[in-house]
Order: sequence, then structure tokens, then C-alpha cells
Amino acid sequence: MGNAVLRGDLRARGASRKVLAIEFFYLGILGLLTLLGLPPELNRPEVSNQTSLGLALLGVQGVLVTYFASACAAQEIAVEGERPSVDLAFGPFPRRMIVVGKSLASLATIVYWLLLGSPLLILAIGIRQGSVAMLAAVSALVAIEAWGIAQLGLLYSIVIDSEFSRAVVHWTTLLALFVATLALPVDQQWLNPIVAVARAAGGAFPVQAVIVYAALGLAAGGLAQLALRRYGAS
Amino acid sequence: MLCGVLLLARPAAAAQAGGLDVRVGFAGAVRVGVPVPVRVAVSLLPEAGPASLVIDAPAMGPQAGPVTDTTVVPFEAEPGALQSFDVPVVLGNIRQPLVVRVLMAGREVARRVVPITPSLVGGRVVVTLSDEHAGLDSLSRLDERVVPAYADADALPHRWQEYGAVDLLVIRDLDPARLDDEQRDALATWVRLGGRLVVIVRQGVPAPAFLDDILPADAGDVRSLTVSGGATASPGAAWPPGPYTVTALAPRPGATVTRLGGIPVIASAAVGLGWVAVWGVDPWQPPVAGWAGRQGLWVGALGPPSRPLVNVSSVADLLPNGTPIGPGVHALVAGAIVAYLGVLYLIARRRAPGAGALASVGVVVIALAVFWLLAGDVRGRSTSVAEVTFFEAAPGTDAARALTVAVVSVPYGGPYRVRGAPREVVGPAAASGDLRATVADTGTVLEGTLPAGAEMRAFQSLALAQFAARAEITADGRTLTVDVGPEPVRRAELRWGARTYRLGDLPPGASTHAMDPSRWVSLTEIDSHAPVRAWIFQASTGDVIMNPTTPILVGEIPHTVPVFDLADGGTVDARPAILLLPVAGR
Repeated sequence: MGNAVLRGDLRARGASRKVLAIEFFYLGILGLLTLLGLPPELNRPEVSNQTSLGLALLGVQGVLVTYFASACAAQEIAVEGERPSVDLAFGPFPRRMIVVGKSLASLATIVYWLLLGSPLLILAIGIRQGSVAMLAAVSALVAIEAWGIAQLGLLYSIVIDSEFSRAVVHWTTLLALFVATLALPVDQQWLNPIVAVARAAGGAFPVQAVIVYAALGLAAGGLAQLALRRYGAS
Repeated sequence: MLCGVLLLARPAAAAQAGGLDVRVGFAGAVRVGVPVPVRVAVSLLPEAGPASLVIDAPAMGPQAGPVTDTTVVPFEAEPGALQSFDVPVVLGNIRQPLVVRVLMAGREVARRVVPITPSLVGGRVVVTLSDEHAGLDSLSRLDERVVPAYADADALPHRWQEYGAVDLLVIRDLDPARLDDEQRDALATWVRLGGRLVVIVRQGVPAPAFLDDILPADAGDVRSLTVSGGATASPGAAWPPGPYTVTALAPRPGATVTRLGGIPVIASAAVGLGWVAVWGVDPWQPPVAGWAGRQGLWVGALGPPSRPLVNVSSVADLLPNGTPIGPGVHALVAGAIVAYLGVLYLIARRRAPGAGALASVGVVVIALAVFWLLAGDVRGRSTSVAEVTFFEAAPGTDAARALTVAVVSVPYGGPYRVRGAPREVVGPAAASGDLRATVADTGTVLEGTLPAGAEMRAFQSLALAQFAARAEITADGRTLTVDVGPEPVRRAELRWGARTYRLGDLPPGASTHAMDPSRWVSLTEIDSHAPVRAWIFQASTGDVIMNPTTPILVGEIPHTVPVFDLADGGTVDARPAILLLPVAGR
């Protein structure tokens, strides 16, 4: 692990009580939904209605992982011992190392959280006769979506100095992606992370969403690298 | 489709080349949707060892593509021996042939395709055991698509349920020695539980002794007489004039008698839920043979089409689609989740960050395997079968027709294995997807897969139950006497047409109830959710019991034995049985 920023962030997150609390909040929600989703599901309206707690579990996982990953990247949730990108820019670290390190730390955290949640999902999916391949595909999609949005958080942490303004912009971004995209025509709603997850769970994997969120992450990372120039980093 | 099969010790009549002789129904006559006997004789098997008789019966299903109900009978092959089977099979799609195969070690060693003859598919079927294979053709002209069939003793089934296709059985020439005990019991039981039987006695051919308990008359002397006409043979028809040779009958109490020249020649009576007549006049002999009015006799014997009292589809709709899984399963899952989170927490607290993450990933890998197995276990326990049994007591006997309707549900779809009780004839209650029935000593196992979105399937079972009960009402309708046997009956009510009279709980044994004629109410006027009513009648659909034409006492019997269970575990929800007791007039 040659990237010192990545190494430092992972060490800080591994020791952070906040991250631990986040992980157990996230796992607790998934566990509760798994328990509530035992058949026959509570208030399951009718047999033909396939919108079940099993699908809700995937959506909730996507929302939680995306929010916490982007909030950590945007410094909305300040992880103990983790130095912000701007602080690092005043140090000996090249801009590229900072952005790549922060970016990979977000990705590693996302993958780790998805891994921690996977036994609960495999229980819910297994009960519902879902396929492991579907679960893997949904997890990959959630990872890319969450990483792409976390990269926006990283960008905000660099370009917006005010914590309040950064939080407002961060939440506006989340609302735009998770809520406003529902106003799009149905054939374009794959842009919504939850709709994309639902379609992937239904067997129609939204490749466009993968491309868009991956491009969003790369673009946000590139902009973050550019933005760090104003702090004099090389 | 099937549930009973008999490996017959007696050799079949003949085995055809290719090793399989298959006979379907009664001399080919069948009905759709009820169990019909399929007799298979297997010979010329190449080797000894485990083998399977497989009968593929095409069925109708809601989904596109062919649907097949498969019956599998495992047996031990004996090379050179003739092995015979009697299997009840429900025909669902007569446009496609029945396919009968014998498999040994997964290899097909014999195969026979048996098309169903459309002209032998009846709306009603009259089976005659007579050496003369003619004389009933006029019945084909009736509106109800009556199919007459001339069969021999070998055609009589070994299970009473296999008579489901038969509306009337006429015995004229039958050597009782050709029937084994099971065939005799099946015939008598079928009559007691609703079958219609005509026994023709004539010189040298007495009534079979094994039917003596249910016959309404004893055969006397053979007499010759000449009739000039005028005596009534059937409504609207007089006996044709001419010389007769008849067997004088000695009617038993309660029999309805028709006379010819003053001599009782026809006696009939209800037996349990069925009806039996003894004819001392032979319709195959002149002057009755060739008589145009003879059809009236047959129509009278055939009676009106039988109407089932229980609407199986309505019952299946009322049964719960899935039952809540036990609290133990919730506790197990909750415990597993808490244990998983607890281990992760301990690792996070006690390990260094890097090692902790690696240890957590190790726990995740183990948890993946454990939770996957747990999911399978929960799914198995979530599969449920809910059932209710209707006992239709046969008056004057200690027998009842036990109809069980069950609904198996698999949340989110998936495979199921439902096992019926031994000696039951079970099958699907409605057209549905593929089904495989495997016969075993412990009962028939019905296997299939329910697709997601169609997570339930209904089955029905028919069996004989020992149940002695009787009910009588006085002619003025003011006093009801009931003997319901050793079990109390809860939430009893009388049903007659579209009206009902609530009786409440009935004690075990005999009881007498004063009736107030003004308390009869229309089914549409009562509160369908009234707690006094049995659960099966509390739903909005009130057609579980189809309006009986005679008074019926209905009520709940609290203690019941489940008929179906799940071979791979799951929840069995046996609802209180429903008693259906015909009320006799007094």
C-alpha cells in the first residue's frame, strides 16, 4: 500500500468509534429489516406484489452506504484521526496522491461495508429464492454508485470551505439524485440509485447507471485534483 | 392425481408384446377430472431390481405449454413374472394420450402410448357387467352425454374412489369369485358413499352374496306370467304386454317396490348416501328388450346428476395462503443476526484496525455460509399446508365420505413435497402446473414447484372414515333428534337450500332440540361474521356448501387428524373438520 494518504485514512477509519457506530447502525438496520422480512412478511399486500422487504433491504443498503460514504468524504462526518484533503494539501503530498488515496479509501470503505452486510442480504435473498449472482451484481452497482457520489463529497470538501454550505450542497446533491431523478421519464429513471438497484434486482442490470456513476466519480476526482491547486499542492 | 396403487397378486388377463398392457377406465369409458382406474400389466422385464412405473397424464394448466401430472409407482422388478398395478389417475386433458413407461435404473425399458377415445369420455358413465354387450345404446341420446360401457369383473376397481367416473353400475352377469376382497369392499363402500347400483337377478344368476347387506330385497322364486299391459313400470310408461319370466322379490323394509302382475319385480332403496335397486325382471329379455319404454327404467335408475355438497374451489380460496411461521424461527434468525453483530463488535473492540478488518472479513465468509444454510432452513419452515376435512356421513351406516381440501403455500415460490395419508386418493383440486406423485407405503408424495407470484396450490383427498351419526326431523319440522357420536359438534346449524337454522354447540351422543320454524333465515340475511358460525362459513363467499336440496346438519368437529403433511418440514395448519350430516324426515 504505497499511498500514504490511503494508508492513513484506512488506519483512522479502522480505529474510529464514529465509523464503528456507523457500521453497527447500518448493520442493525439491515438486521432488523431481515428479521421483519421473514415470511410471511408483515403487511404484504398481495401475492402478485413483488415489492417486498427483500427489495427494500437492497435499497436501504444502497442509501445508507451511499450517504455515509459521501458524508465521510465530504467531512460532514469527521472521522477521528482522518486528515481532510485541504490539510493534506499543505503537507508534502502530491495532489494526485491525496485524491487517489481519499478515493480509494472511500471505495475500500464502501466495499467493506457491503461485505459486512452481505451475510444479512444472503439470508434475505436466500429465503426469497433470489440468486447470488443477482446479489453480486446489485452489490457491484451499489459500490459504483456510492463511490461516484462519495467522490462528489470529496470534491465538496475541497471547494467549499464553509461546513454549513458544504452540508447544504451535499444534501441537495443527495436529494437531487435520490428524489428529483424520480421525476425523469421512466426510461431514464435508471439515474436514480434506488431505481437502478431495483432494476438490477429484477434482472435488468442498468449498465448506463454504472457508466454514469463511474464517470461521475472520475470527473469529480479530476476536478478535486484541479481544485487542490489553489492550496499550492503540486 | 393419484394416491393409491395396488400391486395385484393375481395375474392380468394378458400382457401384450412390448411388456405393457394398459387399460384405462371402464372398458375405455372415462370422465375428466375424477380418478379413473388405470390397470397396467408389466411383463418381459429384462432383469430384477428396482423399477418404476411412470404414468404421464396430460393436464390443463394456467401457464402456456404442456402440463403433465406424473404418477410414479416404484416396484421391484421380477423378470419373467407378470406384475399388475391398479392406479387411480385423474385425466385432465383428453386431447393428449396417456403415456405409460417402465424405468429401470433411469433407463426406459417399456413404453406405451394410450390415446383416450373421445366417444368414451362421458358426462355421465353407466357401466354394465353383462355378457350381452348391447342394449344401452339409447342412453347415448340423453342430453347429459351418457356413455354406456360394458365391462367385466376385472374392470372393477380396488378402491372405491376409482368409481368417481361411474354414475350407475349395473350388475347382470358377475361371477363373484372373480372379485377379490378389495374389489368387493370397494364396490359396497362406493354405494354407501353415494354410488348407484342396479343388480339384476334372474334364473341361475342370483345377486352376489357380498352385496347382501346393501340390497333392498331378497330374491325369491322364478315365475312365469303373462301381462296384458297397463301395469306401471316407470313414470309415464306401462310394462309392455307379453309373457315374462321374472324373479319374485321379497322387499326389505323401506324399499320402494314396482310390481308386475302383482309380483314385486323391482325394489329400490337409499343406502347411506347411495342408492341400490334389485330388478327381478331382465331388461335384456323380451318383452322388455326392445321395448321403447325401457329407457325410462334406465333414466330412473341413473337418477339426477349428483351434485357435490362441497365447493372445493371455494374452500381452497378460503384456506389461508400461508401460515405464520413459529416464533422459534424468528428467535433463531434474530439470534443468528445478534451473534453475527456481536462477533463483529468484539473484533472491532479488541483487535488492531488492520487485523480487525481481516478478522471481520473472515467472519463475513463464515457468516455467508451459515446464513445461506439458515435461509434454506427458514424457507423450508415457511412452507405451509392448511387443510380442512368435510365428513359427509352416510345415514344408517358407520361410514362417512371424508373430503379434505388442502392448500400448500411456498412463500416466494419454490419446490414443495406434500405427503398424503396412506390409503387416501389425493390429487390437485384445480388445473395447475406440473405435478409428480410418488406412491409410497407411508402415503403418496406430491411434488411440484410453485413459481414466484403463484405461491399456492390446492389439493384434495378422498377417503373413507368411520363415523356413525344420524339426524332426524319430525314431519312438522319442530323436533330435531341428533346423535353425533362421541365427539361434540360446535357451531352447528341446519342448511336447507339457501336457508339456515342455527343450533349452536351439540353435546356428544344423542340430543333432542325443539325447533322454531320462524328461526329459519336466509343465508343472505345473516351476519356472515357472526362468531357462532363455523370459520369456513364466516367468509364472504357463502357457497362452500352448495345449497342442499334436503336438510343437512353442518358443524365443526374440534379434533381432527391432519391428512397432509410436508415431507421436508414446514407448518401444518389443520382446521376443525366440518360435519355434513343429512337429516332424515320422520
